[in-house]
Amino acid sequence: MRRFEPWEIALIRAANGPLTVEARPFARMAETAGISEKQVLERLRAWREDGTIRRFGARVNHRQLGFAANGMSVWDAPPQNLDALGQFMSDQPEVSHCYVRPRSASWPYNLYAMIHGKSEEDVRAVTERIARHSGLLGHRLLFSSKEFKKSAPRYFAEKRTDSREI
Amino acid sequence: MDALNSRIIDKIQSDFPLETRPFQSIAEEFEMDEAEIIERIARLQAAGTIREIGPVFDLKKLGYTSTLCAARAKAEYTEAAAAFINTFDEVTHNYLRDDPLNIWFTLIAPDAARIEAILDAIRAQEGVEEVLSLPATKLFKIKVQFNTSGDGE
Repeated sequence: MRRFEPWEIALIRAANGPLTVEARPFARMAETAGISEKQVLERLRAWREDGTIRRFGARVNHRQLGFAANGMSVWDAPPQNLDALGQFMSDQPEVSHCYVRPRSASWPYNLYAMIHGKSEEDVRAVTERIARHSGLLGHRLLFSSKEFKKSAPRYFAEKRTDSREI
Repeated sequence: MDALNSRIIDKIQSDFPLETRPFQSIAEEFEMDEAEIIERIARLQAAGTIREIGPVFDLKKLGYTSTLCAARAKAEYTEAAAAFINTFDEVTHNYLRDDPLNIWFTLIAPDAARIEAILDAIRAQEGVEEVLSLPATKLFKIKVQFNTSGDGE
């Protein structure tokens, strides 16, 4: 990891803000960070270029956009097929995220694919498609029945009174 | 959702202009006024369709570490355990899921020690029988956006 200058950390905090919807939002961000608007724009562009920022844009409420159902499918994949299966799952347009994670004694699954659809039936159908292709691996499909929290990470946050101390 | 709003959302999800007057530049693309586009986007944000506009950082490049966690809480303690988990700023997502491992949450922190400390605090909660930490060891896909207008994927 590279070291960040104090002004860059101030910019990361300000950019976490989030952006205000007004004519010159980056001028406001610059004011918050204590740097110039030009510095803000140049640095954000450079970070978007080098991948420090994976994307800059609007985060949306999937449910409101008609993607009402999301299911986390978890798969017990043999190590020798992991790459091929991960690739196949990633190729499905309904899959938003696909990761390998460690198994544990009480949880034998190592491959995860988040599936989005208009309904739970859609999500089940995608899971079936993957299951048939994968040779019916052991798997589970977990729907979220309640969202307790969904927030953007706040990096380099200054001490906050609402975060729990341990 | 009207078609124009869908196209605007598709545009600004991944390709928000990093320019002095970003909404002016979006407005030009949609042949609208800057003030009109600002009002539309502000309304979508007030309605919660747009949660917020900003950067998605690569957390590793900022020196952070993350993990997906799963907790098995007794039914009558689930709400209290989830509320306790939510009190940590490092918890960004938290869902109830239909499995004996019923609380699934993500943790993002500057170091592994902080993650371990939070997990231990959660394990000590009444009714929490097990907490697994399942950090990703390989990433195949992170989709950048959901298209709503029917263009592209």
